[in-house]
Amino acid sequence: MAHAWEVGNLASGIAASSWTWSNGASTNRAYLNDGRMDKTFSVGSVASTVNVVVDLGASTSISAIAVLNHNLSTATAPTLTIATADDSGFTTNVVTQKSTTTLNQTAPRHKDHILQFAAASRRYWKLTFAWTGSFSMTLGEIFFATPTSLTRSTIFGHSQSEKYFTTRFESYIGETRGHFLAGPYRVRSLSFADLTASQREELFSMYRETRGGSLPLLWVEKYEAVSTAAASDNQEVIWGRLEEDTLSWTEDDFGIYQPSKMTLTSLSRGVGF
Amino acid sequence: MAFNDEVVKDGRGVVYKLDISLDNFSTITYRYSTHANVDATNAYDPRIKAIGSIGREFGVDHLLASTSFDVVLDNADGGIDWLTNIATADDMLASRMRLYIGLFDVAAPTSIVWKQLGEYLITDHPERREDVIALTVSDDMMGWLQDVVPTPTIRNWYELDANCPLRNLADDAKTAMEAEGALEVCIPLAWGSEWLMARLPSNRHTLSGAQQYATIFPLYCTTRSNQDGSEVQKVLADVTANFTTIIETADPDGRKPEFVRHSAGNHVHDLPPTIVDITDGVTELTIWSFHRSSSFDYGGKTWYVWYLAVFTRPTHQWAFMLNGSADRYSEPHISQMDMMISFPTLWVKGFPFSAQTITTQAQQTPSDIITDIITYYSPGTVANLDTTSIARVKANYPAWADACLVINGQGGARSSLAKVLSEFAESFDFDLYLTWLGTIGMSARNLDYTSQTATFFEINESRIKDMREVLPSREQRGAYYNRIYLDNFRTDLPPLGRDPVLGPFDAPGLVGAPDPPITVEQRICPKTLGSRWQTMATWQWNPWNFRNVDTKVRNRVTFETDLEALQLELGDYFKLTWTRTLGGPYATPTLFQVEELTLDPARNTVRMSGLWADDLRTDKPYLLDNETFLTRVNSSGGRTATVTNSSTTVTFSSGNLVGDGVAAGDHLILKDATNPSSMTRFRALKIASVDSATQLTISDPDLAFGGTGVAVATWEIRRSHLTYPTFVTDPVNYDSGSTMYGRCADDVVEGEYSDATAAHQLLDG
Repeated sequence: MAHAWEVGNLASGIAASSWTWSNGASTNRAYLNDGRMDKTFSVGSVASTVNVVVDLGASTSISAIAVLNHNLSTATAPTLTIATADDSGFTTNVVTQKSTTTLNQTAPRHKDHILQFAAASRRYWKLTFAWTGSFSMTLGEIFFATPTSLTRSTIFGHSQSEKYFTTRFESYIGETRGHFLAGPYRVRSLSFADLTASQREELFSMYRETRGGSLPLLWVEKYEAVSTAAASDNQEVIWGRLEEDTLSWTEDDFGIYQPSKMTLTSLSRGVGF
Repeated sequence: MAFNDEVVKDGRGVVYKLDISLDNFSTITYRYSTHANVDATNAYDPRIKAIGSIGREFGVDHLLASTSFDVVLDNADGGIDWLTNIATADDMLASRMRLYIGLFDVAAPTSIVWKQLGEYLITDHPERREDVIALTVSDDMMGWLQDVVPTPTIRNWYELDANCPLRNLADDAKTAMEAEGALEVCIPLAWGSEWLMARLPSNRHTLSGAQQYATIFPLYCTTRSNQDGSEVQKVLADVTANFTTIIETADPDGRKPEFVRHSAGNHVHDLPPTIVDITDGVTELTIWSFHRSSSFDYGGKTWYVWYLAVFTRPTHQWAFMLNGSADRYSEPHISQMDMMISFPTLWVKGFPFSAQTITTQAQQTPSDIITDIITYYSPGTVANLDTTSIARVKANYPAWADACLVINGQGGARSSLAKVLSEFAESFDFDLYLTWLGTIGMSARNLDYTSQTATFFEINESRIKDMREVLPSREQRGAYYNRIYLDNFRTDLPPLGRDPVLGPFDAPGLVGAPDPPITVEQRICPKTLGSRWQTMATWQWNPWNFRNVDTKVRNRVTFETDLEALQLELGDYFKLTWTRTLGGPYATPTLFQVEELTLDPARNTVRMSGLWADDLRTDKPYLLDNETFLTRVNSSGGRTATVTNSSTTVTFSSGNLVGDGVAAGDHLILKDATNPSSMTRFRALKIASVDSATQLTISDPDLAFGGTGVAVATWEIRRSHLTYPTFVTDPVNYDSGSTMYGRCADDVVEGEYSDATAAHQLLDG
């Protein structure tokens, strides 16, 4: 199992008008690529299916698309299909890059998904969302990526946790009352060991790309590059920020390196998550 | 879903948002919040990183205390550089902000209930740091109150009112007035039955027509546009000056005029306002009159000036009598009547004066005047007032609590409106405070029915942390005192006016019989009360009788609690239970009055303090509408009441109804446990007469009791509104002069209990 990563949405520079929803939804389209997933776009109530055609402005090589901070976990049987074409009307050279994939609805992986496929260089991309019945989908970010895979996985025993922000009033007799502020934030430790020099540089390349954690990192838990429907494990993704502003390594044997541990904490999702 | 319903629930989600307007909230230009997606309609930028503690407390000098706190906004992307950029400094300076706290059910976060936490201005200019912008904001209400609206000067009136009578002023007289600066003085605002000193008058000039001359005394100004026929009578109660009236004879023999009458007095009412030509006995000529000027615009408002015109007429060959007077001057050749006035000491006394909303003397409570000032003579509007609390205080003032206030008058209050209101509040023992909403609230130690029958906020150990309790020290708010001095100083009162300080006035019992005992370790604890704006009718009285003062020793509790306390405003009452598991000091719920509330958004807690006020429950129990005081007698001791279908007679197994004081009009309340949900023997019945020690007659039209000779084991007889207990009948529970509020079971008013239909019957009183 290989991990992969990306920093920077390849669709970050396109205008809001580049997102064409099949039901005409247009309010707050800019939220789909504004670099934060807590501001959400609402497509409105739609029966069964809705798609969005994305004009990247020029052919762009893409090998994964992540849909982040959506509410499809509350829809019935949600699926996502990714296709490309040579024209915005999707009449010429239509290619299904990723077959219809049933989205994993199991917490904590139920709000963010990534679909990976073999890299394709196209200008027009179409994401088709479908579900049973009527549903009002909201989306925080659609992230176009060409993830870089790591040749070494995290060590056995790495950890994940969930972090909440709360305030609590505690009386002098011990009675407590809580206030919910936000959460859960997904927290994943990125622990590696016994890397070769090239593996070490892969890791440091990723770290450098985040500028010491100042730019958010899209962490792909299980890399793949196939057009067939993605299994649940291959949909897992965390968009977060590395907490460490320093990454170091030590050489404890000839040509074997031990990097320091990194911790990735997911970004905020807005009110009520 | 209301905020107060949600705030008592555990585990609620908490968010904050900030609306920023550049045009006084006609539009919202910027919306910031702690979280994204807090509003389905408007997009809020989740930039709020931190908010400082937001306080509400009573201020010094009875004036609302300003509150300020820091706000830190995320600016990592430079998205709010407008707060610090030179090019957008105007926007920053024009910014007004409303802060809100929102609560939501974590299972349904899209439904957020909001509570506004005030309206603020930027005080310390924003500071841009590496990734944030920090600013300090202060409540905006203090800004509103900094300046009273500027009133026109005499020159403004002269120049802006085309019909101003001063325009007929002779050039030399005008020059003389300008040299004295008399045209530059403000025309005052005035409320209430207090003496108001007239401004420096113009000299004699033509009012209308060559034969009529008048001396004009501008008295006060108002923005009130309506005027009814009785205005003069309602407004102008009295005018005082040093008058000398001269009536001269003609000079038929070529001699100099001769005094025929010379009178002097302090009141213009010593002279009738008109004289009558005795040659026809009908023609009235005016000596003095009260006028309202034409309207003119100044300072963004439309003004009117009320002035007194004193006329001098050449009356050659006329003869006069004083209208309404027995004095008739039948000399056929009276040549002139003149009234000399010792300038500039002319005073008027009236009632509504500048008021817009007050038209009668009875309306002149401090609440009325505060409402009028803020609404019409400040930069604010009625929307800046918490009308609920103001009405609550008003309800507590007796009808005789007339208030007065003079602003921009000679010797009257000047400078900032805040100072004016402070002096005014001090004179009438109330506090102005800032509500959570950001409006001006009014609080007094209310002994009114409304405040005592509300459902009190209750707090106990499970909501208390870091409790502290003190007896306020001398000069601190809420400190004990038993000797009062009145700071009565005013420089603008008529001759023989007030002394600057009155007193001491000792608490009842301090001197002589210790009833009630009022000393603390036998110490005299003086307190000086501002009394500048008490009316002449009341300031002479002992303040222990008419001021909202007391001799109680009160302690202050301060503690931290949950967000639930956001339900409270300053001046509200709450019940506190603090047992410490040892039975005290407040083992039973004890009443306190809120004095301070401070929200800490970082921890979502509220620190609050309250002053002990449980005497409202012990000394004034009738205020709590305690119906047990209405009970004449009940069924204790096995005493049964027997009723029979179709019979108005009720017999009792024992006892003495007469001795119990039962009277016609009282109500017999049957509480037969065997049919608690029916109206047969679980109902109230009006007593028509007491026939004997064990029998009475009822007047209820429905005599269906479900049987013959049915003995009801549980019953009670209560007084009706006709015989409510008073301080005479129940001196233990009722203070002198007090009575019970409210009415119940009134079978006359509004038809309640008027017939036998179920809707009109009464279950268990």
